[in-house]
Amino acid sequence: MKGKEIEKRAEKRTEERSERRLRPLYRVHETDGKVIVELEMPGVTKDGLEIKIENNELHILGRREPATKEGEYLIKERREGDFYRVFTLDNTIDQDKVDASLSNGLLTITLGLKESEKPKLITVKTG
Amino acid sequence: MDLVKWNRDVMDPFKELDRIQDEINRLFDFPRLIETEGIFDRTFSPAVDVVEHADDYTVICDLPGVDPKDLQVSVEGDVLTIKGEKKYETKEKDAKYYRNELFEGSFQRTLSLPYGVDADKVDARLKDGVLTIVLPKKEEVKPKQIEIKTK
Repeated sequence: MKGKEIEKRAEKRTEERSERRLRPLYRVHETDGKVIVELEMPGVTKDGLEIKIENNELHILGRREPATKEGEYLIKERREGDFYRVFTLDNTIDQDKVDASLSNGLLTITLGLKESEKPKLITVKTG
Repeated sequence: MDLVKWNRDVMDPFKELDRIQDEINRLFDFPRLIETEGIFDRTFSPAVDVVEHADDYTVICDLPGVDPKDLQVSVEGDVLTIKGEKKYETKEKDAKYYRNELFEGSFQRTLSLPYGVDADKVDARLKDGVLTIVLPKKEEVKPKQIEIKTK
């Protein structure tokens, strides 16, 4: 391989790396025929949010605006980058019944279960 | 014959470097380490950024899921305290949790401020789970441009 080509590859990699992605913390619970996924995404606004379902995978991307005002960092502990996480959906989830809401940096995604997966109550008749 | 580690792509030395870098990055990939102060007292200190500008110091702190009502910011002398509680509503008692990475409970962070902060003009804002505190500098410590006169 020629030197130039190696250089080009190295450049491409650095570009990919500069786009840092963080995995948001989350919790999942099931209640009342729904699966609720809650993710912590501080600094993400509604416009920066991209949620899609593709090949039975739920992709969640939360873009954050970088700091606009430049200054000198005295302490830097917060991690920079966009939030990204992928969840695999199994076939008990009804992909048409997906709902999302964002408040105080917490994203809540409600996934409806398919009717056939919900517990059914069978009434016992007497007599 | 030399014993050489098998390398899938001998022609690309960056691959191996990338792999090492990935591995090291993964070590630090814990989102936030929760600090424990005692066995029963679980509090955590949220991560902060402190940025110095020409006229102010800005403190930025990620606090997702925190209600402004449960948050308290105070300046006492030269100490800034961010205190609060994170309460996630769990209405459903019979909810079945599959995974929970979220921290709930009280948190506190104290920062000692540099000299010359005007404590009366502090502005704190909580938006989209990010707390931004602007601490203006007193006039006397602001950088002054001195005009040079020519004769």
